[in-house]
Amino acid sequence: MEHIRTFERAALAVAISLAFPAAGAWAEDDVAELINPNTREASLKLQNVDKVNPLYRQYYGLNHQGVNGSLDLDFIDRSEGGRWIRVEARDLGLETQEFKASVDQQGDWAVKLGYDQIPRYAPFKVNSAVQGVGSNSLTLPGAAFGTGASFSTYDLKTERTATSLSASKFIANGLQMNFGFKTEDKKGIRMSGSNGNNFTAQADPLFPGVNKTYSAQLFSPEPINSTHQQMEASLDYYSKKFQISGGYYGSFYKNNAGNALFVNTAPGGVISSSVNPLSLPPDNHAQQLYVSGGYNWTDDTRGTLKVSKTLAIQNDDFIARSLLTGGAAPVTTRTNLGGKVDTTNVAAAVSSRLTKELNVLASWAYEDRHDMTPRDIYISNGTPAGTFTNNPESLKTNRGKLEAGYRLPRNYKVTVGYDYDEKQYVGMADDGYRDRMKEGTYRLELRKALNEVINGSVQVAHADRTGSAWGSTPNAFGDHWVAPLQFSDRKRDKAKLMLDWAPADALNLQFAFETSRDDYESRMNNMGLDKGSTDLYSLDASYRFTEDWKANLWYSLAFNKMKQNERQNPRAVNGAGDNIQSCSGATAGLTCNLWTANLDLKSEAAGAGVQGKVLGKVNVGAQYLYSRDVNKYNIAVGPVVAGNNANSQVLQGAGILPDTVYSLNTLRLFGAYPVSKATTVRLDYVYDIRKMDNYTWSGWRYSDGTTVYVKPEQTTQLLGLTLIQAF
Amino acid sequence: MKLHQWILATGVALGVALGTGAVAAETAKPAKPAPKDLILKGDAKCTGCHDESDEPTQSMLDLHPSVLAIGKTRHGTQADGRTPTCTDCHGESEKHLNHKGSDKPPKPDRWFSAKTKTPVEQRNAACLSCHEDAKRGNWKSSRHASEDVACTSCHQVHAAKDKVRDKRTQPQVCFTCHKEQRSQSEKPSHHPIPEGKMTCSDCHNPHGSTGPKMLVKDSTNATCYTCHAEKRGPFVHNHPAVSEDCANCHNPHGTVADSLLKARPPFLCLQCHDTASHPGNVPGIAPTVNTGRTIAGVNLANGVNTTPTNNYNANNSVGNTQGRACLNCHTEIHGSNSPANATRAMRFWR
Repeated sequence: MEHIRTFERAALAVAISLAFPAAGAWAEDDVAELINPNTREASLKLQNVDKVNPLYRQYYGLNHQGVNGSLDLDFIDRSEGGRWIRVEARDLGLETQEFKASVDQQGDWAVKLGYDQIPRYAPFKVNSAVQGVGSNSLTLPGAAFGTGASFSTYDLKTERTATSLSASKFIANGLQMNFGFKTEDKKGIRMSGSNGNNFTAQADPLFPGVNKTYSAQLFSPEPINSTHQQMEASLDYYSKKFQISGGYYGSFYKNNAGNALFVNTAPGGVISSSVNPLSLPPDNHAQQLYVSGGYNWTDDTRGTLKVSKTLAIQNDDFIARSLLTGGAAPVTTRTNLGGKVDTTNVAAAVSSRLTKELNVLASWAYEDRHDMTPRDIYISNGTPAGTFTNNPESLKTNRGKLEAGYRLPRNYKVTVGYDYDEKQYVGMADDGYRDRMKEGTYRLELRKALNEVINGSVQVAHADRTGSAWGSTPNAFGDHWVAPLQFSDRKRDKAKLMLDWAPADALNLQFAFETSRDDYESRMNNMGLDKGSTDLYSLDASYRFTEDWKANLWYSLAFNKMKQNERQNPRAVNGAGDNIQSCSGATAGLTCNLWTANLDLKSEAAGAGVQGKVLGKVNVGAQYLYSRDVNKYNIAVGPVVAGNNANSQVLQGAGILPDTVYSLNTLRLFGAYPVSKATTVRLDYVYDIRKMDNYTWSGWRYSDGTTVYVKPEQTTQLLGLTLIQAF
Repeated sequence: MKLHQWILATGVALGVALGTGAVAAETAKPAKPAPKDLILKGDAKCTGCHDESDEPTQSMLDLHPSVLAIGKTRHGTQADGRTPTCTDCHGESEKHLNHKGSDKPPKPDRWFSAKTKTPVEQRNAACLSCHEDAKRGNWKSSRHASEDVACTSCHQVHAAKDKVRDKRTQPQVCFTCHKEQRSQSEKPSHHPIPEGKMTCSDCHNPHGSTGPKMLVKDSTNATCYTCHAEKRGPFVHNHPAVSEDCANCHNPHGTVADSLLKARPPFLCLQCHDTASHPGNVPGIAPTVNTGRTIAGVNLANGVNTTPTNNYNANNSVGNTQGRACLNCHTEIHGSNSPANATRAMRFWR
């Protein structure tokens, strides 16, 4: 009986295999599936968001509590003749939607169309009585702090929508012409503020019974409504021996919100702007012509050169003279700046493999940013008295690099390099600047590669920055001056260690350590940033359990530190005594205090992910992301350094700043079940907690009563159902 | 005859009837037909072994699901006469091809997996022989080349979707080496990189450029202006730190301070600016700060300064520190185009 059954099974198998010579056919199907790019797929997504939280939706654009529906599309068709048609859409129906379509004949021509939308929500809510938010004409509430006025809650948001078109065509062997155009609209409202005139004797709700004087701070959101158009065209020639490309780039910015933001006083109101109207970013454009190319003298020696010329123009109309009245009436007779910046760039590089072991590289880049804007007197009522012109500033930059790499036995490679960076400034204000800065960096790297188990590298670098003599020094300790950081002498030391270890085929470990130390010197009176440091430790691990299952894990710990030396001057507290700026002055009763700030940032970030297959065909995965930043502001107020008595003007409670903490925990889970070869159902779940403990807006209130609220703990849950259908 | 026997007999008969033709056709063919090219011209000598059933060992999983997936890519488009074949990239690899036996064959002349012994210059030369064009012409002078980065360190050639060419997945590839930027991208102020709306190559050309830090344009500012053209100016009153280099104040990879600032104001501003007048106020916040009394205990309302004390404004610690801090008044910090006869315009108030 058993024999009969065995025979039956064998006979059945033979019969089936004879009937369906499937092995070959199935293989052919498998091959076709592997090599055929053609795709027709649509995904309908329904995402249920339990809460609309400002931090989560900042860029995700999921702005509706409840179900947010969207559609993704993927269409790829490649013909036998090499004609590709692609359509790709993401998030259609959401504020993050994007769409791309292209047709191209590979190796001949291509046309592409794109649309992309990027929202950006401010991570807070604003409660304000200022009227006209979003327009270029704001009206302040009448009473101080908006008392009695009607307040509204605002979500400040900007949104970019970009449409692009590009095309390319080979017009001869190796010769291709390209064209690209992109127009981007940006609309919305941006957080901003402005200064107001002092107002007096107003009852302060925070200090009942006390009338005070206020130098007003006003909520003055900026209306955003601009169009930025960019055009590119190039003609590229390519051969194995040399390549050359010539092209044009144009960027045209237009601010449709106008050139002024008006901050109006309410009829009979006590709060008014001290700077009405504010200027808005002006229309401007820049156009560039360039030629670049490369030449291969041999297989091992190559040179490149690029030359470009850019002309930037800003001649947008000024705010009308009639709107700038009183003491602010323009001195200049110009109706626009006539801004013109002519920039020349030249960059060249030669690299060569001189021997099998030795590579050398030399490169140089030069930029001459020549600000040709005409100078004119714009201010004649300056304090201190004097006239001031606009400040066109030109800058010449030279960046050079010399480098040699030598391959040592046992797969080691040593690289030595020297980087040179020089800046020459023309037209800077006389005080507190230097005409020329230069920085040299020496680099050494040892790398071990091509090893089956361990790869790694160690890099160290030392940089020394110095410059010409400073401009005129302040007259006295405590006078006004500016000593920009980028003009400071600086010694910088950096080191980096990377280690890749693959103890087994399935396991990969990576360790990284980066450190840097900055020491700033020769600043005016040793004020400003004194020292900075960074340390980063990072560990990554990935493991592949089986063909279907893999996991990864990583952790980073970083410390960033800055030490600053500062000083509080006598005038600092109340704004009185305009002439009391010097610590060595003879003003009675006023003193200066040195203080230091140690800003310590500790950042931790970690991620873990696992992905695999269950029940033979259900793809599942989980991802966890953690990030926590703790910023400490350690302020120490030092002793009185000058003055006629010990009356410090530092306020009680100043110097005490709480830590700011931001943390993020996100868990993502997904499962995708292929119902059939053409249909897949996917389930997503996101649990996201963000905590923001930040004093920026806490207790802060604008003089018009506007307050800003940041929710300290924001939990968002998202459940998504996606139907993926192939056609 | 029982039912199952009827079924069996019918099946055998059917099978024989349908299959005979196929068997006959098979027997009519040569005993070992030469393998056919599957994708590329002349690929048969490779795809004869590297077919759809590539073994799923750890070393081959890099090429998962199969080397044949190259057929879905532009490299696998035969109609384009420029398309290479296997040996154009991997070399003629005679020893590999002629290997007999069941043990592992020697590697091809050029191979690209993580543990390759092929020198990086040779691997990259295979790609650059076609791709050293306008976009990648500066590769050999790039930092990536100096650091022995191979094209295949980032690109997956045998895959329908190359991870690094998709803006949603590209950062994962870059973060393999750029750990600091990975951590920074998750900070509260960041470009929309984690959200998949921007990616590293929007600003950087990883194949080399003439700009610093392999930026897509010739300078940092020129790169930033491709999206932030409103900052380009020139203005009546330029802020020199801005027109020189946006990176003087901003870290584009992500920061704890708002607006991608390297430090929050007033600390950032005080790194350059003097402390005369109000800027040097020791920072403090409401309501911790007593705006009516100094640390020495002097009541300011009745003290040396006869002006009644202010609450939260620019002239005291709170106004310097909270809200937008220095920017509460110095609103037009990127430059002011106001022609007003007012020093406040010069100081970016209006």
